Amino acid sequence: MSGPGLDPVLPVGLALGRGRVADTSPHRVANTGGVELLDPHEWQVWSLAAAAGEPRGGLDRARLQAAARELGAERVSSVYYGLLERRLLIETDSRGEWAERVTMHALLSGLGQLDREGTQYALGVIGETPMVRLDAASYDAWQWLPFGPTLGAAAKTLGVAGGVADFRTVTDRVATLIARGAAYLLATKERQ
Amino acid sequence: MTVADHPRLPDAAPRVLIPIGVPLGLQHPAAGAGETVFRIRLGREVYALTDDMLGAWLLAHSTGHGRASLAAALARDGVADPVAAIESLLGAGLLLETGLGAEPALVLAATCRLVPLMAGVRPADGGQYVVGVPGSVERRVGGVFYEVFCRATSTPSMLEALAGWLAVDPDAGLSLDVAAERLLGELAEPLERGVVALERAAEQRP
Repeated sequence: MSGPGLDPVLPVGLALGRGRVADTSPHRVANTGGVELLDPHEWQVWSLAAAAGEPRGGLDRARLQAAARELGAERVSSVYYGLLERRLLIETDSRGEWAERVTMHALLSGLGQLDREGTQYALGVIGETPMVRLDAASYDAWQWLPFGPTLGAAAKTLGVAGGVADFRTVTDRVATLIARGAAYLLATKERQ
Repeated sequence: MTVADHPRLPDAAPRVLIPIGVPLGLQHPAAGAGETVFRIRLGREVYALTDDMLGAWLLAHSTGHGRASLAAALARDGVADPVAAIESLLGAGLLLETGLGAEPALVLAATCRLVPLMAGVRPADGGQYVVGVPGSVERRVGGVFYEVFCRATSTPSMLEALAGWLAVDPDAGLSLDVAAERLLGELAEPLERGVVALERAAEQRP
């Protein structure tokens, strides 16, 4: 199934937390053009999009909006399209066109292989217990997809985006990395 | 005086080593041939470190090592030629040597940018903030560091991040050089604890 809004919606930006007054300050998200302020309803939709990457691989437009309403978010439709317009959400597509409008950035430190066979890899903080365990393909996505002027260009260079089925896999991996706190997206600069 | 034409510090002034680059992790050789290496990403380059270089790079994350103290610590750890390991890292741009005080701090801020490795979580007391991985780890960071952290995705250097912050927050009440010196003081712990890495501002983003 593919079409506008029918593929997973991903968050764009790095969460910064609230400003100085924890209960009343807006949430802040860093993007390429600077720090964006999100009211509680905007934050609910954005953070839901971030968390939805695991275990489901992200929510499409309708499911994300429904989930936000279930959690009590108000004026969900206008919030959703406002976040899209501000490039804080991006609707993916199976051809990977969305990936030409963002870059991916890795979070956490790479700890590397956990076994000689190369089936398990870890991210975290050096000298501490691993926080995130990944298979080899997801670890490759974590370490190599940040290389490139866009996520799409990096995926093509890696040879992991040769067709629609491949790009769905890339989308799933990116969604999972975001949900696990191991990566974030930024809007490319051209349209900022 | 601008950042670019500031005078070099006298050699006798205390200087500290700062690690540059993002850890990519251990990589074992394919089919058991060759050595296990630890890789560091610097811009679009990936460096494979020898054990001695890795030891020096990791130890440099501890606060305030100069060349002599880092070499001594490496020697205690059994590194045969600590000076060579340190020089190799300096030559590759994976260590940077800086003085202490406002002017060296300005130079460091102008020549490097933060690479966030965790997300912001919430404000804390005492003007600090919590950065981390929600549900997993939390680190307290200083207020000046946090303001630069917030602008790391939209500015090419820490200095531009500082200037951008001070331009919109006159209540901060800090001059640029004082803010840079505070940043240098607040940077050591987040670097050591995996909150951020540093890259050179001139380095292409990956």
